[in-house]
Amino acid sequence: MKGIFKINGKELEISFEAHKVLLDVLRENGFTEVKEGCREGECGACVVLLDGKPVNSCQVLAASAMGHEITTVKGIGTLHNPHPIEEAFVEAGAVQCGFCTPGMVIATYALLKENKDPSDEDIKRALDGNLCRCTGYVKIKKAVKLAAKKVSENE
Amino acid sequence: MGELVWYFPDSIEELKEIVQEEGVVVHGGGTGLLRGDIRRYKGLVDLGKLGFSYIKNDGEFVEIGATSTYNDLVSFFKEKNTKSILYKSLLESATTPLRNRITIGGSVAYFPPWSDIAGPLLALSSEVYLTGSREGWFKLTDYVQSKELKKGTAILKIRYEKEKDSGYSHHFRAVRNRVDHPAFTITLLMEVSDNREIQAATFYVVGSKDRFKKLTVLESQVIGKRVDDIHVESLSLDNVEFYGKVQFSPEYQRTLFEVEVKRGIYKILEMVK
Ligand SMILES: Cc1cc2nc3c(=O)[nH]c(=O)nc-3n(C[C@H](O)[C@H](O)[C@H](O)COP(=O)(O)OP(=O)(O)OC[C@H]3O[C@@H](n4cnc5c(N)ncnc54)[C@H](O)[C@@H]3O)c2cc1C
Ligand code: FES
Ligand code: FES
Repeated sequence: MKGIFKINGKELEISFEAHKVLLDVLRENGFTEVKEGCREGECGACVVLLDGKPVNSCQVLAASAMGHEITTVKGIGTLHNPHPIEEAFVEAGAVQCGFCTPGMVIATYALLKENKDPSDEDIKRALDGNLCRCTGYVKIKKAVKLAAKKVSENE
Repeated sequence: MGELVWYFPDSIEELKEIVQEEGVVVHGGGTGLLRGDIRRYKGLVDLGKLGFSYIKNDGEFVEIGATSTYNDLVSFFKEKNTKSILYKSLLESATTPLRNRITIGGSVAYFPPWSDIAGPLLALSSEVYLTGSREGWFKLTDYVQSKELKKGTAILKIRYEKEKDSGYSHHFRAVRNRVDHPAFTITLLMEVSDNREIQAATFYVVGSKDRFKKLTVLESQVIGKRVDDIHVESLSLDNVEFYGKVQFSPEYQRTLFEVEVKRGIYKILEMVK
């Protein structure tokens, strides 16, 4: 089947099989910044924003996302123009292998849109769907706090 | 196998026809459908264009549109009623990105033993509104047990009496860690009068061998009693059995059930006191 997908602000016409999940359709069309981990909705590596809300793209049937706004981590910042959240993750040492980072950044972005000054509990809750096998989460929490500061200063 | 066809009806009339076609099923959030191979279906019908993503709270009932997500409910209750049993149960369920996707209609239709919404909706004596081969409001207990009510129908909305969710409540999830699927859940609802008499008690376990069970033996020992006259340790429990699950053995679940039901009642009595 064919459909229009709005990805990172651009409309793309994509041919895909009707049973495919959004994760596969994104990766097969070049959006490899969306990572494939468990494929079961448990690790959060594949998290993207769908109409502004974080979802596990491995748990979303692609056809149901046609016409909706999809944002991957590259829609938030780029290599040469990183988002303050991405800078904060690097500065806080919250990136080791980096596999979980796109999902972590997206979850943090969604949190800070709603809550400019999140408590430890708010952070834990917002990132409860994102697993990290490297950092032990302490630096990730620090990164989110630093990101909150940077985002407020940038406004 | 032909290619799966997607339908996006923009009227109820259109939905009614499509949902009765052989091999066509409703798509809610897709998180349950994806546990199997969806290529076995001929078609999926998405309710997204029909306007069933809402929660109404203005009359006698709380009415929830079928495509509302777990997080839509969490946000709603955070503002309107943080004592709601649904708020307590959904706040703890799954994870943030999953709660943004899991729909209420899909969860009621799927009704897995680990469901966090099943116990509270049963305890609130909820009803579902169906369209398709059957039309109208049906009791949730009838819907989940009847193949006939499920065949060729779509759930459009769910409702319960607002009053029922205004008492004391407790929800327990048998999990190994915060993001685990519950092996079973316990839902306890109690209404207590000003003179501390228990006027109503509705207790459910979901995820037992019977799928779900109303704990009538236990309920009958507390209804009509004064809070101060209840000795939690001496309450006798319903006979509830469990299958072994990845998380826990049947014996462990039974022990956990016994401990947690009594702990839940104790907590509610403490709240009243
Ligand atoms: C990793 C993971 C963890 C989870 N943890 C929990 C948890 O802790 N607690 C919890 O409660 N849930 C949890 N869930 C969700 C649960 O397992 C189901 O996936 C979910 O309840 C299904 O809802 P859905 O909207 O995605 O339904 P779908 O997958 O879209 O549909 C499920 C079934 O319902 C039918 N259906 C859908 N909508 C309707 C409708 N309106 N009318 C009639 N039939 C319909 C479909 O045809 C299908 O048969 C978890 C899911 C995942 C993937
Ligand atoms: S790949 Fe989607 S949650 Fe793990
Ligand atoms: S940095 Fe390696 S998984 Fe998180």
